[in-house]
Amino acid sequence: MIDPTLPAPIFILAAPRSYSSLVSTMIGQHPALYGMPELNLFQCASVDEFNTGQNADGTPKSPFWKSLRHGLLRAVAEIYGGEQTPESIRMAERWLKVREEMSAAEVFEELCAAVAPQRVVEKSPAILRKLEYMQNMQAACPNARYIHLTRNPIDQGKSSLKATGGIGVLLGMNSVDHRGAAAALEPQILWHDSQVQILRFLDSVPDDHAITLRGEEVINDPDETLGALCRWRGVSDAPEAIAAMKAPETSPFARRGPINAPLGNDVNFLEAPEFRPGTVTIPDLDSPLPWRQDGAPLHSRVQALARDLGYGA
Amino acid sequence: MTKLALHRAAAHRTFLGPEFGTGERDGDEPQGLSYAQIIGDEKLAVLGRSVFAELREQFTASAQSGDAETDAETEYRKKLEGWADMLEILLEETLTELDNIGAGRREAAEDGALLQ
Repeated sequence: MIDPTLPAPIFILAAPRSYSSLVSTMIGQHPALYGMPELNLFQCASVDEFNTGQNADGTPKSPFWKSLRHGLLRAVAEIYGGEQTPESIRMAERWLKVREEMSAAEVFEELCAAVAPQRVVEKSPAILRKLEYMQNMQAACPNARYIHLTRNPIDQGKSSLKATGGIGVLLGMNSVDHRGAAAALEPQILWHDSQVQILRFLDSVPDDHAITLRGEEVINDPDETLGALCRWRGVSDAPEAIAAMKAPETSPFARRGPINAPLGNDVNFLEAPEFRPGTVTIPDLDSPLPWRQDGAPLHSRVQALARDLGYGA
Repeated sequence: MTKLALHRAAAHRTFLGPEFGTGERDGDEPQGLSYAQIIGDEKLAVLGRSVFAELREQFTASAQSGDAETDAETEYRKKLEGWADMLEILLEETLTELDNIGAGRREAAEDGALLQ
């Protein structure tokens, strides 16, 4: 468990393609907060597991683990080296090497202490793969606050099919309709089951430690929505603070990193990190899905869950 | 003034995947697919091949459009190549020196044997 006198971190839990890179970076730009890249720490019991990409039983964590390390490397380089260069990333590798016997929670605590009094804001979407990973996070940070960030299932599905790498995530997460003669990607499965995974975890979190935030509301009315978020966390909602949050591109992690750790966030966000306010219209939940050849609408359970999360009547 | 709250959506705690044929029953976690499972299943293998082909195109296009080596990256690559050259020379010199020492010791041993 991390030192309870440190500012309690804020974790963002979201399905892929739900504005999580944009919104978490925006929140992290509040002057009282510190937005981290994707650390992927709580998928590991120890730093040695993080370094090697292997679980305690020797099985690999993920075929993409090498890339999933980039966020923590960039964070260490930035926080302790004041820059993200190939050399500071090598320093970060050594920083992690000498801590290989420490737990992931101890390293996370060290990062929280290094940026205090700012409060850490973090999201690692891969943490949704197992409830155990979210429980590791909760055990390390009992006072943490959680934001369940959502996007309506139709736009999220369209984005999953369109974004660079999105179809790979759908296939790897078995977001596949197996029922027909041919298997087909079906993004509403990932949307639904990601929300269920988050909701199951949040059952163990007190009401005043978590909120639901619809990403569309951040896009449509950033001043009001970000102001409400600030008041929830007890930080300033002054116009200067809100203006800082509307400039995510000023985060040191909102661009590609150096050649030996270029990622640390969604590649689509790193290419275009600016906030573009606009008007997002929520599609009718019972309209035909653009990706289905049979013209079927969302599954009734998906529609019901979307309504319970505040979409549609 | 907007106030944010948690929507617990208490009626939704079971996974949807099985209704689309992803598995026989609801599990503790969402059901992922490994590469071996994809290529080992006739229907999934067809889908997998088309997905992998499209991903290759996406990442090739991304690499061509925005991933060209920057000046800083070129400088760093050249620095690493310089270190590699230096290390190669040092390694060669070290191996040669070790050979010399080994040869010297063998000679001394042979001389010692002859003297006895």
